[in-house]
Amino acid sequence: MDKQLLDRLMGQAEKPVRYMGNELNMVIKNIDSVDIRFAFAFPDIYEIGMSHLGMKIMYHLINEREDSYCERVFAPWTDMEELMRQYDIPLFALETKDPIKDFDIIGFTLQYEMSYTNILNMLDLGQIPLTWAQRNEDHPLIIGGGPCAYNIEPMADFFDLVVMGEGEEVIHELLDLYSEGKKQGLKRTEFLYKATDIKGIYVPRFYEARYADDGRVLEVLPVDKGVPPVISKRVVKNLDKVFYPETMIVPYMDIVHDRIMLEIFRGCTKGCRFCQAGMIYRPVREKSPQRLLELAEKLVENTGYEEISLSSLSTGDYSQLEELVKELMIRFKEKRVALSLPSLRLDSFVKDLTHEVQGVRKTGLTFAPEAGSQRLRDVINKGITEGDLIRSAEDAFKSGWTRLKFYFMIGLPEEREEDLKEIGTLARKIKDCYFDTRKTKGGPMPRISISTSSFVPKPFTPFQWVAQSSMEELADKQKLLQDVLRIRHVTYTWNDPGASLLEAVFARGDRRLGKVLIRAWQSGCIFDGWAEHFKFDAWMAAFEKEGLDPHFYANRVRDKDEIFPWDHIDVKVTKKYLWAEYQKAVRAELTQDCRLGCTGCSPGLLGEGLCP
Amino acid sequence: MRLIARYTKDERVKYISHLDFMRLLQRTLRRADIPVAYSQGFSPHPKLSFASALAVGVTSEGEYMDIYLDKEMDPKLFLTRMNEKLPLGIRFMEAVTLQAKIPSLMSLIERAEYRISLSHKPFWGRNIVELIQKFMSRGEILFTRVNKRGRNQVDIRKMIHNIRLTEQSEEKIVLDVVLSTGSRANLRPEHLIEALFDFINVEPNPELNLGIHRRDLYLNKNGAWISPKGLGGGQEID
Repeated sequence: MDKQLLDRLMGQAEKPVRYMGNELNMVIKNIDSVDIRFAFAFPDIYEIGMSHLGMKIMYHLINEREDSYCERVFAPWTDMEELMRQYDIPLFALETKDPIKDFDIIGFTLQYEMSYTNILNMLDLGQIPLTWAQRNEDHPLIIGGGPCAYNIEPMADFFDLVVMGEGEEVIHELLDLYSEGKKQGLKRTEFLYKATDIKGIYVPRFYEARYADDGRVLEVLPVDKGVPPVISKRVVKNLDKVFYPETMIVPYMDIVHDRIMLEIFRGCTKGCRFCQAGMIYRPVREKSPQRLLELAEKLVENTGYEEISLSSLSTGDYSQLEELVKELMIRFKEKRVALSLPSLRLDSFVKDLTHEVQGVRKTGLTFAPEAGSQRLRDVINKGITEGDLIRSAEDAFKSGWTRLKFYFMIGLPEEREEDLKEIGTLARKIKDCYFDTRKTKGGPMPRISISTSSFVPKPFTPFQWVAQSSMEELADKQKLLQDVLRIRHVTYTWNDPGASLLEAVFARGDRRLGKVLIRAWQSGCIFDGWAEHFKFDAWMAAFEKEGLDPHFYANRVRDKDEIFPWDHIDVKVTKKYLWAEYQKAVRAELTQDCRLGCTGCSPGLLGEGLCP
Repeated sequence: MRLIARYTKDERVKYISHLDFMRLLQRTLRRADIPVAYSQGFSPHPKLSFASALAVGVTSEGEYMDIYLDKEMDPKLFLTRMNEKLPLGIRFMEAVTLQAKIPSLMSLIERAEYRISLSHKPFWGRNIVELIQKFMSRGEILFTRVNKRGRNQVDIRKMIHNIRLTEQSEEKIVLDVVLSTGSRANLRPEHLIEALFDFINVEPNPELNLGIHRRDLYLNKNGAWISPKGLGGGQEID
């Protein structure tokens, strides 16, 4: 590959730093002194991929190994892709600019369904055959992980191997085996067969799905007796002892999350019924404040970042939040390092705390009530009352915030028209609250933004059985909200129902969808998560040509006992528990936060002593 | 206390934009524990400025930064600490103290010298020295600038102060050029290249421009063009 030409081509692209690498704290190794060349691939552009905490952890973790060199690769934006194709430059890793086709392993992280065509496009740009059936011993091993890996079935044709659960421990076992296999000259299938002995590793080619005449899955079974019929997710036991990077790459360009990310805990105890992350990342495990302070010191020293954010699914629930926040603020005040608290949940919004946080930095505040009415919030087990919401808004206004953002979902199970109308009522109350709270007339006007996303039923949640609202219904609901939210100082934004339909198809899809993905990609579908690139008609044409009905996957109610394409994956929350939660949802019954007492989701986690 | 420092930016980091470079330096100053002075006001920002913005894709050995510190600091210590913490590809070469009353470097700089490497192919068979002479002997050189506000035609001749052929091989030719830079008049080296290609009727393309390197910046002192390297060290500008 002509690296000088590549260097000049970058200069022609809109943002060359996306491809340049050489950032502060980038790991440099001599490629002749390592056995394994690993490319960590994020199927979106640099500024999104570089904001991802999992990548930072895995990158530095793999690079701790003397025998391995982990580099990064992202989806080039369309302008760069055009140049690369024009000048025949294969997809390369940022560190060495070497083509990823020459690597041993390419590990994709599967964060959202709408990135699937980007994965195909990256393989193709990398001059690597898309399916494992087309690849041979000379091609890199294509592996995956991340939340979407739990139902990898729509992508089963493309991946050699998938990791279920947290990667910190399993990656070492896998790389040890790979290195051993390389020395012994193991064939690809021999290596993969051995890899199935590692807990949490799923090799799609060793399983076969059978379907009923009506299209439902009958079973997904191993084709060989030696591979496990059920694959269990991996869970890290002690978050204080597990690896966490003490340094992070500091990008030159402005990325989405351009700050130190301090992971304070994993898992979530709230039990929101729509939330896949809340189910699959169980159980809750915290890092201690001591460990966090130690990490923060090192990260500030090594990166020079001016901001730290606390990262978790529900930061307000960290058991020692106040102590931690206070200590962090005291320690870094001198150095002018600010602290931001993202994804604050209303119910755990501490008034005194916001006063102190505000002292350092004031940005827009975001709330996620998810549903407009109390009844519907009970259905989804979002234990927030209207009182909580108004009080939080009032506190925010009193502390000087004027811009508040509220996230809602539409198309939730059991949703009625009045639930939607209540979003409008709530918006009005919040606006009124601003004018009641302000001390003097004049001054800034409030900016209240309401945004809705369309509910996508996800596997491994209590709503995995429900039908997604049709696109027409979703469009009607958006229209209703446009009317209801025509309020001064309130803006309303919504998203494309077509994109939500596709997300729903692939979230609960099966292996037959691989063909649709290839066809859609061939007809130009990439960056489907980007509104300006999303080609709905091309997608529908792809479904039609492959004889598959997207509505069968998205808009169909499943029976209690239906076999799902992902039933052979064990995320340690039982199907029985999920069904019981679904039934409680229908009755609008709440389930308590499991920090207050076990709700019985997982005999498995209890049995392994992972849950207190 | 005021310092001016010269630094270099090589191939590995040449695509960092001016704005991003500013942020990078602020972070490096924090990591290097340099006692930067902050401005007063609602959102305090560190008191530092650059002599001249460097275009994306251009390497340089003649970049200068103006910086105010809260505490006295030996310029040598400033250099060591910064170089320990900077990413590869950026190096501080020298630093000197400067009196605060001297205007900012940014307002003083008027010229920049670049080394431009071009593919020899489009010039093949021509006498390049003569070609440059012909190019420069015109009374005006019209160039169409395209920016957000639209297109406008400017005469760039008076912003080109010198073009000299310094190297010629089968693959490439190398030109050392001196161009106006700064707020009064500014000519980007890429635009000079475009004008040159236009002169010989060649369509510019990425394969022809082999690299631009900034060698130094100049300010006018009593009629002489001097590099900011000559500032400080007891020398003062009246």
